[in-house]
Amino acid sequence: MAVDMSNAVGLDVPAAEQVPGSPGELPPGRRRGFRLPSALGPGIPRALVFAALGYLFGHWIGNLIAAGYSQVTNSGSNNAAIILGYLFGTVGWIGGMGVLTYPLTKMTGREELLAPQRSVGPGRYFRYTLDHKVVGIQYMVGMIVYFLTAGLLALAIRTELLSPTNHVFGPGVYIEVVGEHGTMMMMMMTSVIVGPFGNFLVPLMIGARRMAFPRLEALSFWLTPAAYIILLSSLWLGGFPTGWTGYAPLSVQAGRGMDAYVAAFGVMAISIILAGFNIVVTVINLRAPGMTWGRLPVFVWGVMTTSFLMVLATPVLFGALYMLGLDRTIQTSFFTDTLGGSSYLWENLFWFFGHPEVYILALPGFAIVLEMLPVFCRKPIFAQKVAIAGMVGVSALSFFVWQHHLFDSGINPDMRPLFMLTTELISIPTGFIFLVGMGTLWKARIRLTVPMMFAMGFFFNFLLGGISGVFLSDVPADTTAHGTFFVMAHFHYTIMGGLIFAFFGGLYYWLPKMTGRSMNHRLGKWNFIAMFVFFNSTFLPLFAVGELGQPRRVFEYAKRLQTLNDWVSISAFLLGFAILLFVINLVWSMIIKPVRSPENPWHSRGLEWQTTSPPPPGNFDRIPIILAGPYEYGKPDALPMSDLVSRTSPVAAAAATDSERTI
Amino acid sequence: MTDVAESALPPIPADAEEGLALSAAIGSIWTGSRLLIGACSFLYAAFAFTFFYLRSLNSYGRWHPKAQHPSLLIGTAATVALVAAALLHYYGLSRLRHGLNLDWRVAGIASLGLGLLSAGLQIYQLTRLNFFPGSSGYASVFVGWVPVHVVLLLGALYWLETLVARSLRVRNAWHGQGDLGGSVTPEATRLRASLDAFNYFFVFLSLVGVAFWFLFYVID
Amino acid sequence: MAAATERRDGIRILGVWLVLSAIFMPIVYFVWGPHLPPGGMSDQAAGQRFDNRVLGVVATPVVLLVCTFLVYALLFWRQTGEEIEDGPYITNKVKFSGWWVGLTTFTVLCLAVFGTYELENNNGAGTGSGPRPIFAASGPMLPVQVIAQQWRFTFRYPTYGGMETTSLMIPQNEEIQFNVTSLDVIHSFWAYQLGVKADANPGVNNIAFVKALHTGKFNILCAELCGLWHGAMTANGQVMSQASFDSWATQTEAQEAPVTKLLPKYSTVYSPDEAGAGGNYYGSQYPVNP
Repeated sequence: MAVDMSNAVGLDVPAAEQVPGSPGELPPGRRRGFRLPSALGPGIPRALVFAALGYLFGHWIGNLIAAGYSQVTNSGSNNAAIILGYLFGTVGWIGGMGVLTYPLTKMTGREELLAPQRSVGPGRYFRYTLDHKVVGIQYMVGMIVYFLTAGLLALAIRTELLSPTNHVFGPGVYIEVVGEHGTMMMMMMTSVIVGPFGNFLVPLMIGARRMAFPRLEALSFWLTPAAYIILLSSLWLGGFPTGWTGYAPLSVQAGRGMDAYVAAFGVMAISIILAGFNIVVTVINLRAPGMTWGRLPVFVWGVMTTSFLMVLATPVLFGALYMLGLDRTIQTSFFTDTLGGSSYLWENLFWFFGHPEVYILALPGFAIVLEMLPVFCRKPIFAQKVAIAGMVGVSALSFFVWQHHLFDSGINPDMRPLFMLTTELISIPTGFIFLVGMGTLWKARIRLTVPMMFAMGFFFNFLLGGISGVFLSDVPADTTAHGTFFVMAHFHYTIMGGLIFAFFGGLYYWLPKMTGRSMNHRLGKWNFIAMFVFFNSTFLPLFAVGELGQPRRVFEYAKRLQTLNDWVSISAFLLGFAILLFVINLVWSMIIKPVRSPENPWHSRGLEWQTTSPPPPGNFDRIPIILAGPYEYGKPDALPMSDLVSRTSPVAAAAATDSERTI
Repeated sequence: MTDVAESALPPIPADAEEGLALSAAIGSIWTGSRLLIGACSFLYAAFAFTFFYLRSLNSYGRWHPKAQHPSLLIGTAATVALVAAALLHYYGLSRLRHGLNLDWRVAGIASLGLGLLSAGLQIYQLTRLNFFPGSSGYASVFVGWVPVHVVLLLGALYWLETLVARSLRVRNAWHGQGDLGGSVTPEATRLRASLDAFNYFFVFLSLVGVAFWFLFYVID
Repeated sequence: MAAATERRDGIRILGVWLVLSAIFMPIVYFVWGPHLPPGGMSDQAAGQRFDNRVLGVVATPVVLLVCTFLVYALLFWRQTGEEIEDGPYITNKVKFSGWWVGLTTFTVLCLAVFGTYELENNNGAGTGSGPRPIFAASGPMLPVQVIAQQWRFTFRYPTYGGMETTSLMIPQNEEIQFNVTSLDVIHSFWAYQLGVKADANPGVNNIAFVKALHTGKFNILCAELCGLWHGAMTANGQVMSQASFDSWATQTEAQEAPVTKLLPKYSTVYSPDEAGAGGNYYGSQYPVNP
């Protein structure tokens, strides 16, 4: 709760050591007092034990509380016990990781626990650590695990839809799989850019040594494995039948698996709020001297606007989930109309979060692509202010469009023209992004590298996704499209075709920075081609499927649509193989046969490339002074971005520093 | 821009970094507290929206049967205690700015006590309701809102406790240098920034308390 | 010279784009348009198809512009090889940006006005418009109640003694007022060929209007996830001529009279007790036990 004071400098820690440190890791000479044996110290084993103990404790408390409810006793489904078990289990998990040590010590007035990051080796990736680069890598791996799990669930969905009437799963398992896929993807997509790239790159791009609140940052990551496990445990409890939207009163009626949805999404909501909070504060306060708002890279702008949305919109989701949890445990009646509640309340609260959420998923994609374009076009970004205005405009408007999800619901039907207008207005700032992209491509000297391919793929996919959105914003046209596979295809085009293409492009682009190793380009090209072809082959027909009358989340459908559905399913499996190519490339190039990357493989001017790859613990030898904007390509007398490299040529200078590196 | 280059600024010396880090830390505390207020506002707004939405829908006439009301006495006492705690801390902080360290310490501890009293009263009130949580829309909002407010209040009190504990611990170390209110060390500057930030948040919480007091007891 | 080549690139892209648009826009409107979903069975469906056609025509040049540009850029503005050559230093072209912003804003505002007009013109365009719709049909109309519950639709005809059927029969060329409600969770009543979609909410009477133009059968599906058998929640419907509808309705009313007597009295919303979404979740201490 309290603002993290971890930026406090310990009373006598020398300035040179003021870099993010893992808690309790004082240099050997300054350790004192009782220390636990290392086996009992913070780490994953202790966290697992604490989590199990916490779960049991919460379960016991819940049973104690609910003993007074006659409907609950002996019913075999005590929701209070399950939700409290999850919550205490999560507290146990983070406590076991060592997150709570510092806040508890602080209550005694001590703050000396600050120490520099000294831990090296692969073990640091499995610990609670305050180095933003380690957290970035942790997030990256974590989000890829999320993505692959939810992707496998998607393939399960497509397997069931191979036939209109013959079933691989029953309707029960199918609906569980649909809910898991949607919720897990949504939880993951929210953090997929801000987590890995935001945490790793923002300090590097603004010339800072660290994040503003490294403890909150690390906590935000360590909540995600808890959310992952809680969400998957839902399958064991019978799953939840509501999809990711969790519409009440179906979610009040649902069985115990719904509790896992409430707890997992709630834990993830906290993680999202913390991650966004940290990034906004960092960008505002930790910029290096000379890093004016005009020189701030577009990527940082995008991540910051996204983070604003995360901080402001997610509390509403948290509130809604909390109300749902209360309805399910202590029998309040927020969503029960006969007792003074309303099912409309959930729809309003959920989409008040849900629509900004949608742009939380779109903006980082814009940001990555616009960051990469100038590098591969060798041109300054076109109309940078317009790009920024576009992103700020999208995020501001996104709070005023939520009822377009409810055009047919009967909620405030008189307001529909207004929400139709605001929704269509969003295409103006979105159009800015295309204007900037096309302007940057204009007469460029394009180098078609793998990241650039993904950027081009992004523009094509997001174009189709955005255009189909216009059909959905038009109330009459939306009547047919609403709640069908058309909607489903629309948001897969923007999220999968937009955000994930940008994410993959970003990985190919920045992994050399993050690890010092480069991905295999030949495999990367095939990965892109396969992904682009099979992605479109999977989701383009789904527009037609939806318009031809197939609602979402059905396990049976009209026989006449079988050909299209089979085409889609087979394409989806091939898309799965395309993503497998990526995983193979990742494991091969990063772990099995690492190839050392050149220091600045893309010859970028960006500040993040003006330090070694991977960067040293303090990021830079000294805090840089920013001399020019990041995109001054094609300007002969342009200064380098910072004083870290000599004036002559940023490329040559960066290459010259390529000396003492380790793989 | 060219001029900047030609003047060829010397690189930032290592000891200047400490100053940069300090101003960044103070700025972070400032921004962070405002952003925290923003996030909490949206959480509270979800409840305020729920209140007015369910009130206007009044499904099956069950928004708020007149017989159902939480204790006005306890609710008012809790709100008054919270406002008093915030005002006391506000006053203590203004005294600290005049260099009166003891005043802030006393005010901080008293404010901590009043805050705990307010939280305790609200929890006690929940056990003394004459209605069940789901008996009406009003009942749901009330039973749902109080724990949220109590948890955020306890979070704020934790923050206050760490500040008080820190100020007591450094009392002797900083005594010669003007103590908490007057010391110019980075550590003291940062602690004062945190005090300011906390003050804003606490005042915000008390205002929310008053606003919801109006919702629950006056508008109902 | 640079300006000349610049102009040449622009003219080429513009030319290709105009030619492609001139080819594809008529194709979308005249060839593809009449076949666009949801068909023309009702006034509302035809209105939606018209919207789809118009939006399709507006979208075509946008898609073509971006695609033409991307393809042209990738074909003509590439560099390969080891030496890296910087492009021209262009940071903005205010006139071009201004035109872009102006044109997109204009288009978007036109689309919003168009959508609002179509919504009003088609009596709510077949959407669920709440209990008191402002875009309502006038004149005589046949009220039909759609009751959704897990996991089936039933239909009640208040003007025929409140009889309840499992298939939806409606007459041709008459305004129909659907009163959609739910007994448990949120469903969505979707009569595909009629172009009607209205969420069925517990405790809410959600009204949609339709006027069927042609006789024939249509499909009814649930378009909002409502639990286990959501995918199987379907029903059949038929548009009949006025005369055959009248005879069907009077005959069914008489035939169903003994059943109708046992049904709850017709009402715009129902509040079932034991059978509701709660399934007796709230205990005996509560005033009602949904």
